[in-house]
Amino acid sequence: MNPVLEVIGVTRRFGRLEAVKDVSFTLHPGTVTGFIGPNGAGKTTTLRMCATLDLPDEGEVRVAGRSAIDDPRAARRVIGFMPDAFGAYSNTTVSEYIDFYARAYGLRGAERRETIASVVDFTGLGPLLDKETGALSKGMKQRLCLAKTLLPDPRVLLLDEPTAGLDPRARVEFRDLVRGLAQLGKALLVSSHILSELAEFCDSVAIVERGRMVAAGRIDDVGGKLRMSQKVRVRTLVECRRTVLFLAEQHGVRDAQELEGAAVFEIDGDERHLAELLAAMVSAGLGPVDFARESVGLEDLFMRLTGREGA
Amino acid sequence: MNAATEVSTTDFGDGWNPLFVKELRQSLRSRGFTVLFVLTQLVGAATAVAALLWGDPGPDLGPTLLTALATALGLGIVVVIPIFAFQSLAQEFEENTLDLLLLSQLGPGRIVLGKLFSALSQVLLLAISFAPYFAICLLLEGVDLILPATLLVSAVCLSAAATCVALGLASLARSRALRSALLGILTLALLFISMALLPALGQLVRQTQILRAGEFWGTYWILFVLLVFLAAMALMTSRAHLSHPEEAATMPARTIALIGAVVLPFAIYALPAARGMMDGNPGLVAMVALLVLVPAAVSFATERGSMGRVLARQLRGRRAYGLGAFLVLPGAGRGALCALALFILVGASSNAANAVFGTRASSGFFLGDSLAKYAVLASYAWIYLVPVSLICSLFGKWPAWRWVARLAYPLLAIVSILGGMLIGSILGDERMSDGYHLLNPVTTWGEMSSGFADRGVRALFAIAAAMTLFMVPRWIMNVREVLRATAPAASGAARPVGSTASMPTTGGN
Repeated sequence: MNPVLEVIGVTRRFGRLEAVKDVSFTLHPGTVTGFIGPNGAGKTTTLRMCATLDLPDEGEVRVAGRSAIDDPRAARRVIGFMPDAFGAYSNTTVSEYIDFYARAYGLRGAERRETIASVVDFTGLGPLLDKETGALSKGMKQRLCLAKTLLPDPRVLLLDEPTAGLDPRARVEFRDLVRGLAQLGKALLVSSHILSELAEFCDSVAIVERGRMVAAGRIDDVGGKLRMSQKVRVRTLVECRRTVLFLAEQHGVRDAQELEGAAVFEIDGDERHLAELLAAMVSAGLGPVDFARESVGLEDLFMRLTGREGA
Repeated sequence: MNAATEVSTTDFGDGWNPLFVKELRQSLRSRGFTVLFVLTQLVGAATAVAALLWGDPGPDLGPTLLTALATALGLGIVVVIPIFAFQSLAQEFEENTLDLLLLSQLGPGRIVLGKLFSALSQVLLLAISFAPYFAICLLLEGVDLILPATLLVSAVCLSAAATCVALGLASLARSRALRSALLGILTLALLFISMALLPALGQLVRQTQILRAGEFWGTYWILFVLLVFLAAMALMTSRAHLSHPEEAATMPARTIALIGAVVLPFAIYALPAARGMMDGNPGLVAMVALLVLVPAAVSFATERGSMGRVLARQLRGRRAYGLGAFLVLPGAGRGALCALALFILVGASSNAANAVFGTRASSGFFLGDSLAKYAVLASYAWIYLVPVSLICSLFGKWPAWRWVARLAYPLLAIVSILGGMLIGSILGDERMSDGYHLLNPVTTWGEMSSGFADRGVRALFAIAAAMTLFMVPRWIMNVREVLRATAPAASGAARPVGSTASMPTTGGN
């Protein structure tokens, strides 16, 4: 499937500060990608460049195969951007707000009415149409902004910290909306600091630090691609202590220890190394009966990739 | 309401600028406009009632009432409405809503125009609401139809120009501190202009024979044209600032330069006046020099870093509007010309200058001889920069219709000259109908060349030359960037961007 958004070697400088350096990634339809990085890592700058709100000093952003730098107007028809902070207009109801943006996106007549009805239905704003936008809660404002973003039916959605400041219920509801959008075939790039939350609905991650892309890909693949260490839990027929001693002598194995009747350790390398270790355990007569990799959590992955484990 | 009616009501305004509709609706519901409307109505009604009940019935009653009403309305539409417009655009920055607008199909131009037309609608509403009070004046002695009509049109035009300037200033206001400073400056400037115009208003109301003089309408036309130029200038500045966020980085330096260039000359101008050097050509020359050179120099120096990137992008995208904003009126030109416009406006209302500075730089009610010369030179510099920039634009590749926009500005200059001749013909003024008036460069330059030895004029030519020199590097840089940006496209070579082969990929199946 062709990517709908391609960010290719993008660099952005502010004076001497290199806010974004040679960042590349792609988004495909129907996927949700978490865009992760500490404060000041260049996430918002990258998102703004993707949204055509800023220009890269170098590199290219392609939206649906066309350069967003050469033709930002065309790109804006495909991209929806939801900034992290935005205000609602005073003296304006939800219905007027949505109607205004529908007109601003060039929707006319019946098409506008149908689109508004569909977006209001999807975001659940129906009961609030006559309410003033200034009186909405943070969660409802996020929904309103999402509704506005969905009006031109964008194929790519860039959401900058969409759940920041939301209460748990609003977060769950927003997460469901994001999932629903992915099912509709849209490509979503969601930046957030709440990594556990991203892990719940992201297929992939793009991790940036100090303006550089540290890793990008499916969450499970990123560790493997970067030859990350993996945590393994093994139970054997022999005494656990003997298993731990055996593992401690093996190449690439670290931190082998006994935990709740099983040996737990970390091993550098990919699945081939794991297979070799398992074969060695069988050959040594340890009798492994349970050999399981512990899944890599997003927070764990982020902390390791950004070199802050144990910090 | 049946379904068909509902649909037609809902679809009403599909072709209108949606921002205009939204802004107008918001404004009319706002507390600020409600208070302004009620206050002006109360003042208008109270003034009319007081004049009719307690006024001395005589030839002075009509003009006095008209002056009071025009002052009340003028303060509302020349001072308050432009401030509302400023806040409306500035709030888009404060609330982070501008990005949302820019991402829609509304361009920067439509955003600015939407806000402008919303403000103008409020102005018209206030002006129309004052019509009954003006009608009362017509019933009194000493006031004919032309006078209140002239005052109303003048106030609306001045308000429109002030609103354009307010929007231009608001487009600079990306930080809260800058916003507060600019709002303060705008408020003071508008109050100053309003107060400065009061003596002229009083004189006009009491000497209505001025309205029958060809000289008045000639001057009126010139001031009107200058206002149009100023308004267009401010709108282009605003639009360019919204389209090019890159300029934001150098905005504070250029804003400070611009403010300095406006404030300092006033101080310098006031100094010789205070010391009795009333005819002070040196003061005027210093004023023009600072107004032109400081913004031009600082603007050029601070802006060049971002130019290449912006130009390259626009050329690659074959999008002329942003490039046009830079080339037709590049940053240095914008700064200089904006300052020149202020100079002309202040200089033109010589009575106001006299009132404030105690100078006797002018001899007549309107443009005095010496001020007129500087105003002419300033306006020529303004007008002639456009064709020069137009030549630069030849290096770009433009969609055909963009040329209309590019040509609109010099065409406006030509129309302003022809308009003066037309007014001269209608009024039977031979000199004006022959094309002799301030905005006609041929006749006026010919006349002024006889006094070319005058030091002040010579200094102005030197300044114009210096200004051109300041612009030359910019033009060279523009040409270089144009050539650099177009060369790879012509040869089909790839741009030096990251390779897709090495990039990590997320998602996908």
